Amino acid sequence: MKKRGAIDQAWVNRQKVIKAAIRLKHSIDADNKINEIIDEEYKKFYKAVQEGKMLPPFDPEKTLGR
Amino acid sequence: MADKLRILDFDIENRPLAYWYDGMTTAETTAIAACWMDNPASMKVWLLGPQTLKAMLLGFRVLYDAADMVTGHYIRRHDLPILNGAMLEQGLPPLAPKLTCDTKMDLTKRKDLSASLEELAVMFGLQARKAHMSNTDWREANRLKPSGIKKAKERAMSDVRLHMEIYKKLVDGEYLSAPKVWRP
Repeated sequence: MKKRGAIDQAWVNRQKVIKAAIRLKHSIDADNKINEIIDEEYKKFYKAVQEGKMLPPFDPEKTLGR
Repeated sequence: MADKLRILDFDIENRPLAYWYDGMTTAETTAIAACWMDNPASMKVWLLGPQTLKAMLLGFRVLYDAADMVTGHYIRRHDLPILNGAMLEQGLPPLAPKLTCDTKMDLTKRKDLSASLEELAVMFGLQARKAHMSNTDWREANRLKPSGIKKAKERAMSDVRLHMEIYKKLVDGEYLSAPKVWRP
């Protein structure tokens, strides 16, 4: 098997860090968005229950956009 | 599950029955009033004396089981445990777990402010009041005298009617936390 040279290996390492950083950033953003939406929907859902209504199923497109 | 939920508003009156400990007494239910939130004309009342306790409990249970949620003031700590104890004493199965909205326990956090039904009614500017009963009235009611039973009936019904109005105000104002399941 052909061994990577030091420069190639440096690029592979750099690429890994870039990928991990982007995944982490989006994962944190997703968690923040999830918490925000869940909190709003929780209040909305149980207020409707207290009013004697069941909300229609959650519509992702309507709430989150495409 | 249907889009429309059935919410039952209810209240009980009870009398002390035996000395227990530290000045506490055991209790017995003397009146149960219940009404569907979306139908104020559906008020039902069960009274000890004209009816046996067992008949009262069985009558209430039909509505309880049909409800998607029950509501009342302090029901998770007072009314529901007393009714469930009565079920045990009468040899009836315990109440099923139920989604509850307790307007005392689920009321927004507060300090140095009474959250009694009477105070909430005044706070919200409602005209309705609890039917007042003096100590003598309660003694008559608890002795199951016809005049006392009549007053206890009025009291239980007025509590439910008042609670239904207050409940709507509390829901509209978002003063209540999410309903909780009560498990016997």
